[in-house]
Amino acid sequence: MEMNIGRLIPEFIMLGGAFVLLILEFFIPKGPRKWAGVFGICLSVVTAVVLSTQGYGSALSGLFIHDAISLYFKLLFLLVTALIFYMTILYEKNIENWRGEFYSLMLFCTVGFMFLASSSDFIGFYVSLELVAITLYILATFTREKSKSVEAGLKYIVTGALSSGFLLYGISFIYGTTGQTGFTEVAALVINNGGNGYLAIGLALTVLGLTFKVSGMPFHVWAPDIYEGSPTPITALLAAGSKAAGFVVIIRILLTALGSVRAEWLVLVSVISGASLIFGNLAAMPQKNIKRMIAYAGVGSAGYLFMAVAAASTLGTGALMYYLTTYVFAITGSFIALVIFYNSEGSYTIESLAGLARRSPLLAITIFIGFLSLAGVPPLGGFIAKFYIIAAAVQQGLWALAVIGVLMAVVAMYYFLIVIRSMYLRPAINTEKIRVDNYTRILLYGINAVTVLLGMYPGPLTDWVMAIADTLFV
Amino acid sequence: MLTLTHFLILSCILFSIGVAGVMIRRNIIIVLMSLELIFNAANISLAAFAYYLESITGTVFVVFNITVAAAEVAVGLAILVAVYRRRKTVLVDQLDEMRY
Repeated sequence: MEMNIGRLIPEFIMLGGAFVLLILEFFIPKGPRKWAGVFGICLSVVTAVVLSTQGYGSALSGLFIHDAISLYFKLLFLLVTALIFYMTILYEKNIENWRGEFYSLMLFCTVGFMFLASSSDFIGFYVSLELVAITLYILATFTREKSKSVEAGLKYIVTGALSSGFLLYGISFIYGTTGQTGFTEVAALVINNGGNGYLAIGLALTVLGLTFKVSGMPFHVWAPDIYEGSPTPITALLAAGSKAAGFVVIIRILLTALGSVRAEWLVLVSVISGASLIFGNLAAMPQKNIKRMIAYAGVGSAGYLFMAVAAASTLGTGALMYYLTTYVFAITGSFIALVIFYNSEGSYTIESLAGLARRSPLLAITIFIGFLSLAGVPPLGGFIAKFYIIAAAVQQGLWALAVIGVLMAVVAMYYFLIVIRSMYLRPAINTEKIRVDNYTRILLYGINAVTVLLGMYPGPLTDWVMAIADTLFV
Repeated sequence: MLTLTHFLILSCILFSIGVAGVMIRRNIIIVLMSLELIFNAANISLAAFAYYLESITGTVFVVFNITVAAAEVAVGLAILVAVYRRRKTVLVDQLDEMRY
């Protein structure tokens, strides 16, 4: 029972930065805050450096754990934060009544993600989940003079609170069965005593509550509206960050705490996975708005990731981490390109992208690579990730899921190719060139290179994620 | 004599009323109240388990929940005010600018 506050230094650095920005807000006149974005990016880099020097172990009497998996996910979250801060700097001028709280709330949200990756107790997990959720509710509503943004925020908070209620009620039953809230203590008791009725209820409600964060069925209804209505950087944060944060806790709860009763959750998780895959991909087909299409595609991605969880093996968990990494690069790359496009055009519809290839070849190729990686086309990162996940499902005998996964990859090709056709084959309505500044140019080249590299040369990252996944199944 | 089952049935009834309220009612203020009901159903269940298992953790959890739920409702009401200012309505079915 020791505190080991020293292990929380990376989180404290982020938290301190968030408070500094919040306090400075009192003294600085309203207006653009590009320096705050740069400050956030620097802070993420510093935190990442400090984080990699931290030793593994637990803190706060077992509420907090730092291990290989939390290190991996925290580095991923810091990467997402840095990229999204950059995106926000580009997006700033679209927000009337700009307030600097935007940046500090994003930092609070990252702190929440980091605590989620480290949570090893239901209480700590629930509180950090709500830290993330409440900051995201505010961020989604931030452009409150826009009618769509406030509507999105309200829909988000109602569905979010409902799913939190399910989660909490489920946790109360898991606590009722075991009398413990720590993940490792619950795991030990469940192995010895097996499951019972209360545990089954608790499990079902907890899994249903968790599907909200990752926009899986049946709590996916919020995703399209909120993705469409929120400011674009927040859409990217929801797509990339929230999904990764949701899955790290799903790994911890289902594989660490309740891994020994896999038989009880396997059917539920498989049904969620299959339903998300089919619904998400089919619903994405008729969409006209790119953000909405990405939301439905994200429901489909949650299906693949749940398939990896259902496999509950080293290969499956490693594949899940690989998938999330490629997903982050694909999403942030294409969203940065979309933000630049929006700045000049003010629209997110697929038709408005017509002729983008001639107006700005770099933006077109970035969206092209990002979307093909999401669709899972070789030789891009997304292909390797989907391949590993389906291989893991086959290895564990989940044939039905594997078949649905392959079929839906074909469907995903269809709707992503509609966008690509619009960019490359349609004549442009407005032939004016779109200017991209040099920093963004370098960044987009870098993101594209990483996506291609993850597909062509997956060796090093695969070794790393498989080694991490191995530590879960000793 | 009150047993654990009585408390669990009570919490189950409250939870069901809350979920039904969120699904059925048109007024967002009632929806937020129903959400409160769901949180309190979970709190009753946690407190009952904590009492009958003679473990303090559940009670601590309840205190955390009350705090978090208060924060959540504060943000929810703030968003509701923003919605009302912009759209002049608090009825769920009139917030249909984005569909399908």
